[in-house]
Amino acid sequence: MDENLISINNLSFGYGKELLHKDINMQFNRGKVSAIMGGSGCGKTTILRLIGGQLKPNSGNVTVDGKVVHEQGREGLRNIRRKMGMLFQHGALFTDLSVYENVAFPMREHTDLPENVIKDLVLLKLNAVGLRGAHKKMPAELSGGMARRVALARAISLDPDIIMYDEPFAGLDPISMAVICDLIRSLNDALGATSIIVTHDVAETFSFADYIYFLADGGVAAEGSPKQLLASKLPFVKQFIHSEKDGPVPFHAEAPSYQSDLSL
Amino acid sequence: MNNILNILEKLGASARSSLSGLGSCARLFLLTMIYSSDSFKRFNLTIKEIYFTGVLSLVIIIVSAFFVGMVLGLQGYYTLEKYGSSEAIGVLVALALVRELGPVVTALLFAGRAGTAITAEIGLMKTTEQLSAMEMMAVSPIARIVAPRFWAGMISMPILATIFSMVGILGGYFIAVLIIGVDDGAFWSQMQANVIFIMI
Repeated sequence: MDENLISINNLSFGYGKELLHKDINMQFNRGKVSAIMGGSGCGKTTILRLIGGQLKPNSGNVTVDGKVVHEQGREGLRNIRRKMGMLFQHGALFTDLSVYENVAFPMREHTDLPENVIKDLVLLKLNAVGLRGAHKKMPAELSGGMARRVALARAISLDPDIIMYDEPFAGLDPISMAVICDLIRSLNDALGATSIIVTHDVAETFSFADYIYFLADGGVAAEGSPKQLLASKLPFVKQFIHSEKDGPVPFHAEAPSYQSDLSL
Repeated sequence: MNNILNILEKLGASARSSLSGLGSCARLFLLTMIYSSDSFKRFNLTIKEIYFTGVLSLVIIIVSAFFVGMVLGLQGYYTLEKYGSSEAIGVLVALALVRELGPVVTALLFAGRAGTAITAEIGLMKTTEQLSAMEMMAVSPIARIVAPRFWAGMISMPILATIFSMVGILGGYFIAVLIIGVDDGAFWSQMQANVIFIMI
């Protein structure tokens, strides 16, 4: 079996004429938690969308289990996506369905399981994220952290091989953050899944990720285990990890001279 | 020269963008048709939408219809009375409602009430990434969200238009017969004789 479950090969992508990613290569190993880090707007989430087949690359490709994602037909893409679970930035729970129905949704759509089995499975998944007691609630009644956990239960409801997390820590309090961190690691190991996290929270990610990619200027600026990156002398990595306000990533956006803008 | 080029360029750009807008509408419609079988296979989804778009629009439809019927009855009566044919009020009310006002006003109210509700709902689902999440779960949002709403509209609209006409006629009856005192039998029998299905 190939060690890399997902690999991104010489991928270039842009929303308009300008390229967001230029010739990127990444490998995501089976059973590992990998993180993609980088500043806002550097295209981290876009990578997840490319892996999920929601966007098509301009050149290069993404392969999942040896299959090129953007070349798949409707059925092929469906099969690939059934192996994936994705946690969206704000949970993306279906607002008109209860917590229970949200977690049951993928099961109802893709399986013919009888209701009593679905009930057991849903409660099992909710128990894994500690929210079995909230199964009757509606998404609007949940806090941000709880919504994220329900969404995680939904993402793992069909026991996916790949779990993708889009900014799982954004806007959470420290306790919820620690809970989510713990869940990401434990679910990955319990399900034997491969996890990819897109984030810019340095401390949390470095505490549990196996491998980290740094994106900057349309390419992979640095990669390695947290230990290797902490020891890295690369100016961008240092600036990012130590949150320095000026460095290779300038404080000021590119602009004509200040004087000319103020007509002095 | 440059000015003319600029104007031409803007004209071209707006023509292209409206064409591409039209194209995506057509594409969405085509996809809705293709995925429609799903919304019939799982008809409970469509039934739920019929409740939200159709049943919940009943109040506004019934109230408006009753008032439209009353206005037709009142104004029609005063005009017809001048020519001594106030018994024809039933025909006037019925034809005006069934042929013109019923479908048109129902469509406007339906677009206003159900159309905006659906737009807001899908817009919210888009911004909160629910549609993306559905796509990533290998469920087509067009099959699950758009097609059931489309068919719910297709099914409820004619029924609502019929109800509108019915209630409107009752409104006309209320004013003309019960309040003003036009002959009851003449109201209904003239309507029966003159409103023919083929004419509608």
